[in-house]
Amino acid sequence: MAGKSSNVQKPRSSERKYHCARAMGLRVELGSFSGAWILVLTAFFLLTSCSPKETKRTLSDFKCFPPEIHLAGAAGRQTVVVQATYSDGITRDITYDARCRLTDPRFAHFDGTNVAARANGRTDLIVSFEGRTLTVPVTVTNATTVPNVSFKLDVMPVFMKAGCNQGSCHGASKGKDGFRLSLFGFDPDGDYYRLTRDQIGRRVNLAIPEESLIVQKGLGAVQHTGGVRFGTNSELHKTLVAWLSAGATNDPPTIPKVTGIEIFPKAAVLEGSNVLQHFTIRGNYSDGSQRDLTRLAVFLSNNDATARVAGDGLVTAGQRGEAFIQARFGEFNVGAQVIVIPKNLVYRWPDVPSLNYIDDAVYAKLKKLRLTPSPVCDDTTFLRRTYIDVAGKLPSVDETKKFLQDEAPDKRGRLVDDLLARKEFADLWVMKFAELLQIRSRDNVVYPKAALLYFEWLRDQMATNVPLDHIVRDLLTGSGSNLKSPAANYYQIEPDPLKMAENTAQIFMGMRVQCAQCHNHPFDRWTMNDYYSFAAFFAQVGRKPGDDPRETVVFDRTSGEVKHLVTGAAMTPKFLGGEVPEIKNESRRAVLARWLTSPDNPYFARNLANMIWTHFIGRGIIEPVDDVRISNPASNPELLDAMATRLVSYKYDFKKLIRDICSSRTYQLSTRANETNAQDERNFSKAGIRRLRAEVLLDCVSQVTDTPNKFPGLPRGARAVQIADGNTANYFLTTFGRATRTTVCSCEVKIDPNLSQALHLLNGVTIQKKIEEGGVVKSMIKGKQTPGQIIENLYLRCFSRPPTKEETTRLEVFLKGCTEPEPVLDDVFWSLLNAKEFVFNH
Amino acid sequence: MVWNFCWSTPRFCFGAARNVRRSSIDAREVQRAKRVSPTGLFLVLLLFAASAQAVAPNLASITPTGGQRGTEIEVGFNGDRLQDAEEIICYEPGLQIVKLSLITNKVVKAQVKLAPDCKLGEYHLRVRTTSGLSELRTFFAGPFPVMAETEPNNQLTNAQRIALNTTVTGVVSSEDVDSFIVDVKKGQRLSAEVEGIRLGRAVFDARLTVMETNGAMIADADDTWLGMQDPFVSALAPHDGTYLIQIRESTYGGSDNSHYRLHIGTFPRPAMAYPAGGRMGDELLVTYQSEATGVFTNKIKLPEVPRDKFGVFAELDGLSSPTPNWIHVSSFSNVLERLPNNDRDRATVTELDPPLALNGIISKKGEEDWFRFHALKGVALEFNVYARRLRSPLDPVLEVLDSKGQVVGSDDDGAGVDSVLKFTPPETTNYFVRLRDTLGQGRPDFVYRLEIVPVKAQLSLKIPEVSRNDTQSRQFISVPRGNRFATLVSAKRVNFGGELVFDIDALPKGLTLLAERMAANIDSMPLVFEAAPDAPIGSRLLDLTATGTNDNKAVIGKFRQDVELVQGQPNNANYYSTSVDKLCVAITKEAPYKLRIVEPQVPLVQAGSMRLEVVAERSAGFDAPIEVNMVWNPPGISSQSEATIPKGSTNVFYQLNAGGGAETKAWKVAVLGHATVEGGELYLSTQPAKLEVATPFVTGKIETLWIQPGKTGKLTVNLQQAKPFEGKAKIQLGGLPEKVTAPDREITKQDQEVVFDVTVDAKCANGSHKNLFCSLEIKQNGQPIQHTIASGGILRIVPPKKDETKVAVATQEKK
Repeated sequence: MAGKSSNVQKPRSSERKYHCARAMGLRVELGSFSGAWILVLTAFFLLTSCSPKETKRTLSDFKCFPPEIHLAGAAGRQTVVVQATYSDGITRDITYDARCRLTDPRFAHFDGTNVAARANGRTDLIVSFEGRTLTVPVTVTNATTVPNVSFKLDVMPVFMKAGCNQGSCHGASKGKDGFRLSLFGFDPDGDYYRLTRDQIGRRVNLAIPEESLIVQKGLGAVQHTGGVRFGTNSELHKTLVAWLSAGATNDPPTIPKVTGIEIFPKAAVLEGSNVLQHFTIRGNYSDGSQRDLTRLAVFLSNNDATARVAGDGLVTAGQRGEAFIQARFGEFNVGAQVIVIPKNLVYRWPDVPSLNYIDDAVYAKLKKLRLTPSPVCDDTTFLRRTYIDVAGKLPSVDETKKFLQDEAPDKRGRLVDDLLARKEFADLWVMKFAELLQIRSRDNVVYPKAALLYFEWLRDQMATNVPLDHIVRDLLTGSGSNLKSPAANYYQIEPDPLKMAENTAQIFMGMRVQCAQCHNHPFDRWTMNDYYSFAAFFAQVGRKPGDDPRETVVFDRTSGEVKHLVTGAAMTPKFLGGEVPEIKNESRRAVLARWLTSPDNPYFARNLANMIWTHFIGRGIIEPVDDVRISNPASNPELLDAMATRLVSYKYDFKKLIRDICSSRTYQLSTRANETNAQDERNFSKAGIRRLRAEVLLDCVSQVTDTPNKFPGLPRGARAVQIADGNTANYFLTTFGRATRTTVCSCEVKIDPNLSQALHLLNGVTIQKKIEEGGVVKSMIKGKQTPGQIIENLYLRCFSRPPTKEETTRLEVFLKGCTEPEPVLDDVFWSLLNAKEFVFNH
Repeated sequence: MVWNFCWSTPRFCFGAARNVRRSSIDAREVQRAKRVSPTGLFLVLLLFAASAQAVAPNLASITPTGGQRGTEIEVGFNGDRLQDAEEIICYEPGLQIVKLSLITNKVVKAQVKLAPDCKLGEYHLRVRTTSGLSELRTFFAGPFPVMAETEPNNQLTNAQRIALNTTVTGVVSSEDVDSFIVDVKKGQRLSAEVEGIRLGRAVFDARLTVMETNGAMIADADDTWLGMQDPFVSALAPHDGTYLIQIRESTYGGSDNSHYRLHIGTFPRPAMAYPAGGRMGDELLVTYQSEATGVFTNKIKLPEVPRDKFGVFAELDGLSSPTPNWIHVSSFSNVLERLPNNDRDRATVTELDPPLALNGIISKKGEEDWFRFHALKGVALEFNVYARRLRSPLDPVLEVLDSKGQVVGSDDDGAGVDSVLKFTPPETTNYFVRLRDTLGQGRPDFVYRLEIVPVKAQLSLKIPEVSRNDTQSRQFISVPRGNRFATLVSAKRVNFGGELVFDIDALPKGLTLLAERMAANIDSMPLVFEAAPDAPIGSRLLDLTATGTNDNKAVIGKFRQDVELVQGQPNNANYYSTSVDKLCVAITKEAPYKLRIVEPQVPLVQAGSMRLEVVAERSAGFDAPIEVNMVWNPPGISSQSEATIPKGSTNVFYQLNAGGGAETKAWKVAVLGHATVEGGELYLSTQPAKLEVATPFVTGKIETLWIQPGKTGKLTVNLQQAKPFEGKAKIQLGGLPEKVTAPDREITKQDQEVVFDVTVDAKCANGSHKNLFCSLEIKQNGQPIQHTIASGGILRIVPPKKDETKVAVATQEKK
C-alpha cells in the first residue's frame, strides 16, 4: 500500500486485502463509501404503483378566511379565501366554487374574492358549499373617511413589494446607483430623509409628482438598472403618486404601527399538479384596526417545484412534495405549509403499531404525505445503533451475544435503560454541550485550566443528572471567578454583549439573530429593536481580573447599556419574541435565565427536544437545529411540540425523552426504503444512514482493536469524547471533522465523508497501527481459536453481527490451505474497519 | 571550628563581630584557627583546590525545599559560579549553617540546623561568594518530619504509605500523579496541604484529592483562597480506614520544576483567622474558621511593630498548621462587629474615634455589615479594607454614608480586590460604613478588617527593576574592595513632599555611602557605595531609610524588596512573590578594573551637550570591553543608552544632552559599568561626580532666508549675549539640507550677530527647511561647552524664476 512505513508494518498484499473486502461485499475504493449507501435512495417515487381504484372521499370541513372581517376607511377591503378539507386530508381552494353573499349589501360589497366597504355598519358574509354554510361577520367603520397616504404604512410597503429595498438593489449597504434604502425598510425615517432631503430635487418632484425620479425609475420610464418595477395602473404607482401629490410628508409620531400579520389558510394539502390555492394576508395595527395586505405583502416559496407562488398570493401546485409559503410585510414574516400529492394516488396506511406519542405524530404526517414507514430493523442493527447513539461506543462481543440470545420482548427497552445509566452516556452529551459552549483554550483569553474546569463542571452536571434547565440557568447567571465557579466561563469565552446575545439565542433557542444586528432579519421576525433589546440583557456583565493571572471574575455591574445601531438609543431589555420585563434590583441575566428556561418559553424546550431528536435520528425536525426561523419551519411541528411538552413535564430530565425516542418505532425503523419513502428525508419514514462522528469513530476503532488512546492532559485509555479542551490537537479527529469549538454553530461538526478520510483509513497510520498494536488476532490465535471463530469474533466486534454464510464461504477461500492465518485474518480485520458498515451508523 | 552564623541580629554580624559570627569561610582565618575540625580542614582544602573564583554567583534552587524544625539536614544550594562560596545569608533568625561542604561551581552543600523554636514558614536566603551575591531564594521550616516521594506512586496500588503528620517532598513531572495512603480513625481530622507555588519555583498549580480506597471522594481541592494555587483539604474521617491522597497538576501538566511539600496529618488547617488583625504588642484571641472541622481559638502574642501581613500558625491538640493564616498588625485598637449589624439601625457602634480597626465577617449570602463611627470635620480619613490581601475569600465593596444615610464615598477594587477610599468629613458627626461582597456571597471565612485612619504621610524606598520582568538583578549592594558600586533608589512619597535624607545603619567597616539629599522634585537618585582597599570581605543585612519632613514631623521610609519568584502567562505575570525589608550589602574581593569620571570643569548648558569622559583603570591582564551608562539622569538631562570602553582601552566619551528647560543645578552623577569577569557580569561604578547644569552663554535667532538654487546668500543669526566668555567661539550652521553649505564662523562676546555665507547647489531641490540651528562651542578651562542655539531657523529654497523679485527684495532687505 502506498504510504506505508515498512519498519512498522508487516508487508502485506494490498491485492489480497482488496479481495478480502470484495469477498465480503464491501466497497473499499476511494471515496466510495460517501455515496454508496445512498444509492438505494436514488429510486423515484412510484406514484402509480398502487391500485388505480379510487377511494371515495367526503367533505369533512370547510372554512372561510379570515374568520371575521373588519373594514376601516373608504378604501377598506379584504380578500377572502374559502378552503375545503376532505376526509382523506386533501384540501381544495373553493373560493370560486362556494356561494358567497352578504346579508346586507348596504354596508359592503362582495365581488367574488373581495369584500369592500360601503357604509358604516355590520353585516355577514354567508358562505355555502355542498350543503354546508358558515357565517363570516363583517364590520365596516369610517367608511366615508379617505385617509391620507402614509409614508410608513403605504409608501414603505411599495418599496418592499416592488423589490426596491432588497439587498441586491437599493437595500445594499452602499445602495445601488447612488441611491440607498434601508434593507427591507428597517429604517423608515432614514429612507424618508434619503428620498426627500438627500440631493434635494432629484428624487421627488412635488410640482409634477408623476415626473419624480422615484416614480419614473419604478415605471422604467428612464434608465433603471432594476428595470420596470410596476406599471402606471398598478396600485404601487398610484400610492407613490398620491403621496407625492399630498406633499410627500412624513408621518406624525402617532401613526399606528403594524403589530403583526396573519396568513390564511395556515396549511394546504393539494392533490395533483396545477391545482390552485389562494392565500390572504391580514395586518393588525396598534390602533386595533386591520388591513388586507395581500396585495402589498411579498410572497416566497422555498420549493417552487412543488408550490409556485405568485405576487398576489396564488399558489400553483407542482410536483409531489412539501413547500413553505412565506409572506413578508415590513418587519413581519409568516408562513404556511403546502403539501402536494399526485392526483388519484391510491394509498393505504399499513396500519403499523404506534408505540408512543412520537409515532403518533410521525404517522400523522406520513399519512398526509401518503408515505409508508420502513419496517423495523433487526436486533443486530438496533443493538449497534443504540450503543453508538446512546453511549458512543460499540457493544462488546459478549454484550452482543447476550442481547441476541435474549428473547424477552422488552429487551430493547431494557438495553436503552442500561445504556442511559452508563457513564459513557454522560460523556457523549458533555462533549456535545462542550461544543456548543465552545470549551476550548485560547491564548491569553481562555487558559487550559479554565477550559478543563469548565468541562469538568459540565461533566459533573451531566453525571449527576442535573436537569438541563438548571444547567442553563447556572450558565446564564454564572458569576465569580471563572476558575472557582467554572460556569462563569460562559462569559469568558465570549466577552462581547452582542455576541453573547447571539450565542445565547442560537444555543438555547436555536435562533440565528445575527442578521438583525445590521438590519431587520430578512427571513424571520426579528428586528433590530429585538436584537439590541435582547442584547441589553448582557449589557451589564462586568469582568475584572482575579488573584490568578489566568483568572477573570464575572459579576453584574449596575450600569451599562446596549445602544441601537441606527438610533443610538439605549435599549431596554426585552425578551426575544416576548415582553419587556420589569427588572428591579436584580441581575438582568437572572431575569433572562428565568424567562428562557420557563416552561412557557416557546423556544427553549422545543430547541432542546429538536437537538436531542437530531442526535438520534440524524436529522432535525427543524434542520439545521440552530436555524429556527419562520422561513425554515419544522417538518413536523406536532412532533416537536409533543416532545417539548414531554421534556417540560419531565422537568428537563432529558434521559426520559431519550428513552421515549429510542422506544419509538420510528427510531427502530430500518434504513431500507420502500417504494413510497425512497426520497423522503424529512419525515422520518425510515432510519437515516449516518457516518460516525469523529470522536465516536476513533473510540470505536480503539475499542475493537483493544488499543487505548492517549490524549494530552488525559490519562491513558481516555476516550476521544472525553477530550476537555477543544484545542487538543489530533489529526484523526480533525480529518474526520470534529468540532473546532470556535463557534456555536451546529455546522461545526462535520460528518460529510471526503477523500482525506478515505485515504487516512486506507493508508494512514490509525487503522493499520492499531491493528498491530492491539494484536487482537494474534491473541485469539494464541487462545487456540479457529480461523472461523476469529472471523466471527471480528464481525461481532466491528459490525455487532455474525458473518453471513456467504461472507464466511467467501473468506474461507483465503484461508484454505493457509499455514499462517494471522496475516490473512489481520487483513480481514482491516477490511472490516474500512467497510462502510463500520464507519456508518445505520 | 564551628561554621555557624548569628542570625538574630544581622546588623552585628559583620566585621567587628567576627569572633561571634563565622559567616566568612576565609582561608586565612581557617589557618589562624587554633582548632581545626577535619571537616573544616577538608573544606579549606576544597576551597584552595577551587582556585578559580567567579563573580555574579547564580542561585537557581535550594534542595530540599525545606526541613523540620529542631532537625539538622543537608541542603543543596544549586546554581552556577558558586565555587568561591563563603556564606549562606539568611534574612530571618532560626536557621544555623553548621558547615559548608562539597563546594563546586554548580552546588554548595550546607548542613543546616533548624532551631527547635524557629518560626515556621518561609525563610529568605542568598549565597555569598568572595566575589558576589546570588539571587534570593526561599527555604521552608515545617513542623513535621520530612520524607521524599518514591516513584512510581501513580495509583492506589503503588501508593506510598506514610505516617500521619508527615511532610512529603516531591515533584509532579508531566502528567504525573503522586499517591499516598494513610490510616485514619473515624472522626479523626485528616488534613492535607500543598505548598507548591508558594515554594517559588515554577507555575505549579496543584490539585489535591482525598479518597477512600474504594474510590469514594472525601475532598477535592484545586485553588484555595488561603494558598492561591496551593490547595488544602481538611475533613473528618467518616470511618476507620485507609485513605488515599493524590496530588497532580490541575491540567494534568507538570514539570521537573513542579516541586511540592505535601503536609499530611491530623493538624488543624483553618481557612481564615478572625479578627484579621490587632494592635501591636497585644495578646489577641483568634478564632480559626474551619468549615469542615469546626471552629477553635488560640491566643497569639502580636509583634511589637505594625506588620502588613503577619503569619499566625493555628495550634490545636499539640499540632500546628504547617503554613500560616494572615492577619494585619496595627498601632491601634480593634472593634469587633456585634451581631446583628445587617442594617443601619443595627449598626455596630464604636465609641472610638479614628484611627480604629473594624473587624467582621460577611458570613451569609447577601449579608451586609454596618458600623457607626464618629469623625471630626475636616480631618481627612483613609478607609482601607484588608480582606483578600489577608487571603480572605471576601471581595469587599465599601460604602461610607453620612448620618442621613446618603452615600458619600464608595469603592470596590481600589487596592487590588480590596477596597480603599479617602473621605474628609464635612462636619463633626456620626458616619456609617457598609460592607458587602461584590458578588453578594458570604461564608464564615469571609473575614475582613476595615481600618479607618486619619490620612498620614508615608514614604517607602525601593531599588527599581533594572531589567524587564526581573526583580532580582542588582537588588543588593556588592562592592569589591577598593572599588565602588552604585544603585538607583526610588522613593514613593504619599501625602507629603519635600527633600529626603538617606541613612543606612551600621555599614561594614571600610564601606562608605556617598549620597546627596534627594531633592523635593525628584523621586529617584543614585546611591554610591565605596569600599576601602582594606575593607574586610563579608556581608551584612541593613536597614536603608530615608527621612522627610511633613508638618514638622519626621516621615521615615524604609527599603523593601519585592521579589517575584514565579512568573508565567500571560506576559510574565506575577504568580508568587515574597518580600524582604533589609538591604543586603557585601564587600567582595578586589575587582580587575575600576571606573572614574573625569569630572567636567565646565557646565552642561541648557539645550547643550557634553561628552563626559569615563576612565577605566585596568588591572594587569584584564582587557575586556566595559559597557558604561548613567545610573540616573538629572531632570531634563538625557544620555546615550550605553557606551563601550573597547577591549584594552581605558576611556570612552559618553554623550550627555540637556533639554532647554533642564533644571539649573549642580548634581552628583555616577556612571555604572559592567564587564564579563570570570564568567559573570561584574558591575562597578564611578565616583559621584559633579555635573553642573547652567543657562547658556549665548542665545540667538536665525532670520529666514529665501534663496534660489545655484545662488549664494547671507544668512543672519541675531545673537543675545547672556554671559561673557573668553576668546573666540566657533559657531556652525546646522540642519542644512543636502547640497547646501555654509562655512563655520567665529564669534566673540561682543558680537550681536553672525552672518553665514550660504551656497546652494544648482541641483538642490526646492523646499522649505525649518530645522536650522547653530552649534556653538565655547572653550572654558580648556574644555568645550557645547551649545545648541537659534533652533527652528528657516531656509526656503525657491524656484529660480518665480518670485524672483521677492527674493531680490528679501536679499536687499537683509543687506
